[in-house]
Amino acid sequence: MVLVEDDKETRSLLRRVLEEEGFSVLAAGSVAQGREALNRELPALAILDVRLPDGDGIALCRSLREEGALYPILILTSRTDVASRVEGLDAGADDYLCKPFAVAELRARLRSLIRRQRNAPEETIVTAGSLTIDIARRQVFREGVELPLTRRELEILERLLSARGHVVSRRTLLEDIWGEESEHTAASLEVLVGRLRRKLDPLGADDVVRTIRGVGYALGLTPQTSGDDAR
Amino acid sequence: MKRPRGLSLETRVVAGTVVTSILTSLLLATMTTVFLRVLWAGRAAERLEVLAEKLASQVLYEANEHGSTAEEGARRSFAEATLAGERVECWRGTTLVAEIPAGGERIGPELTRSGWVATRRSLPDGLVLVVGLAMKERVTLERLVLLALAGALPVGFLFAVLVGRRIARRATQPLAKLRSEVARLPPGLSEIAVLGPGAPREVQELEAAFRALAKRLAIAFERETAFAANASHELRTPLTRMRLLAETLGTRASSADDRAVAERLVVEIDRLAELTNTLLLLARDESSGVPRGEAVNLADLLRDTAADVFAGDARQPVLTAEDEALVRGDEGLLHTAVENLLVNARKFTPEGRVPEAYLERRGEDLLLTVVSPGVRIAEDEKPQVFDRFFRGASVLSEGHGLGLALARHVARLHGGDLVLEDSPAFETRFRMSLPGWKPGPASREHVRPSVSGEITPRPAARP
Repeated sequence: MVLVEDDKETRSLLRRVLEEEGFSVLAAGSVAQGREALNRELPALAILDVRLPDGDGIALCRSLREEGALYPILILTSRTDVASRVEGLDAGADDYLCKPFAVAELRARLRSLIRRQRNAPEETIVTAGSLTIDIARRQVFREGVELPLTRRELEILERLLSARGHVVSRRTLLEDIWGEESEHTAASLEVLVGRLRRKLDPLGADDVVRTIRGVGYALGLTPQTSGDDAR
Repeated sequence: MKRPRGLSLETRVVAGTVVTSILTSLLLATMTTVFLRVLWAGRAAERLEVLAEKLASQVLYEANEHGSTAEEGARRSFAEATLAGERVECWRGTTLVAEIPAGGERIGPELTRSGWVATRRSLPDGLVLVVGLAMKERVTLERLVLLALAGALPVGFLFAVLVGRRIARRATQPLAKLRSEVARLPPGLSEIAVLGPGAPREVQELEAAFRALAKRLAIAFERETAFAANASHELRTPLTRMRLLAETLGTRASSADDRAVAERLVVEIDRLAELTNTLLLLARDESSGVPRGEAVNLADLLRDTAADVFAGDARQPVLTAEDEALVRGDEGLLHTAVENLLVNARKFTPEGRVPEAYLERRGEDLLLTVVSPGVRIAEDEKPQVFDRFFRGASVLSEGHGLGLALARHVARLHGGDLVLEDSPAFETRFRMSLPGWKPGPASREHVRPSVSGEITPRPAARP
């Protein structure tokens, strides 16, 4: 994997942590070095710091995605607000971690990222019938009106969407979204799926979120790409 | 918005127009009167000259005709004359010889009596002929003019009010437009351009001044944002390093004691990071708002936060909330605000009493009320509870005294507020109001469907 972080101390500490996790790490301290490292070797994963001496990680992330990079990207930032998170996700990052962070949390995020590795560039905006789902900006519109989906509801939708109609098990959802599986989180998941279903499909006619008993959930909604659906 | 005291511009303009119109009519009346007097005096003098000439020659003619004295001639011709209100006198020295009386008192040989327009002619035998017209004769005309003016006054008054209001409306309209534009100007935006070139010049100048002010504010705002970003980065970089070091230390520790120290270190670093966040957040201008918030279910937030705050506590708070209560905002910030309120309630509610929290709707707003029964804030401390770093005299527990300040700041960033409510009971009530969720503006130009498709209900089962 490639780690781009400008602070030398943080870089070497992170590198040690990551190597202990079993990653082979190419560390870089600037956008230029990062690009060089990324060109040298196709990484399984990239961690980008936002503030770099010769540019910023979000722009780097965006240009990597434009060049067709498929590996998961995690952005490290020192800003906490919603806007900067949206900015990062809009640029094609898969996840977002705020400094200072707990090593355990970083590990959990990386595991989750590797598990749901993308296999194709995902469209950031998906239209299906009267629904428009803007994944990066985390907004969903029904007939042009924004739906009030909370962060968790969006995460569930996003997770189901990336499965492209296949069933996502409850366990996967719980681990990806709450990071743990417990009685409490399981109950929450059920409640949230119920709300998500009501919001996406108030009439209950289209069976947008289907419950597969004993297994998990699947999205009954297929966004059809024009032409290249032969995957 | 509270209305400031002082007369409105419209009232002032109307009053000004009315006063001006009254003064103008008075001036007009005076000028007309003077003009009429001068005109009358001129014409009267002319007429008297002609009359005097005619009478003088008549007197001479009568005297010649009858071979009598001038005095006799005067008497005779006076008896025959027909006049239109003029007074004629014939004097020898200070003795009146003959007269045609009119208009009361005599004029006298020297024309000294005021109130008369008069002229004189010398006749033979030391006689003097005086012809005059009393000035009160002219009064009828003047009265007519004044009467007409008095009649026109109410009409003029009404007209002045109407015209004044119209002028005032036209003058204040661009001001009102400018005011509303300035009032809803978001920080960081310096574009004020609502008035066209047709607006009054002063208002256009005012707009330009506002534009300059907004620009300066925008610069200050940018500087503040940049400062916050820099400070945030500069503070978090060493914190990140420290945390990684402390965690590394923890995993490498050989004894349980060392491990405990490393864990304490991590806790302290987290606390410092939290304080950093709080201070940076408080440094943010309340009016800057929350950039493009997401939908947050306040009811879930309240339940989850209460579960965390009261975890392991024998007293569980009484929560009243509907299933879903949505606001638009920053979930992290709202969580902090709710957490601070609940932590306070837990800290200050005495043993044996149970804190309560209600979430309810009022119109478009959501109200979260957190009640700590059995405890009351001293009257003299009430105004200070939201001050930064304020800690009540009775408070012995830990804390920076930032919790309530931060909670209020967060509420205000979201367009709401947090207040300490007066309560008749012996309790403390904090009430946070937040505007309910509304769909965002439909400016979706950056969202163009890149993929199109249909909702296709899938066949019931898939292997």
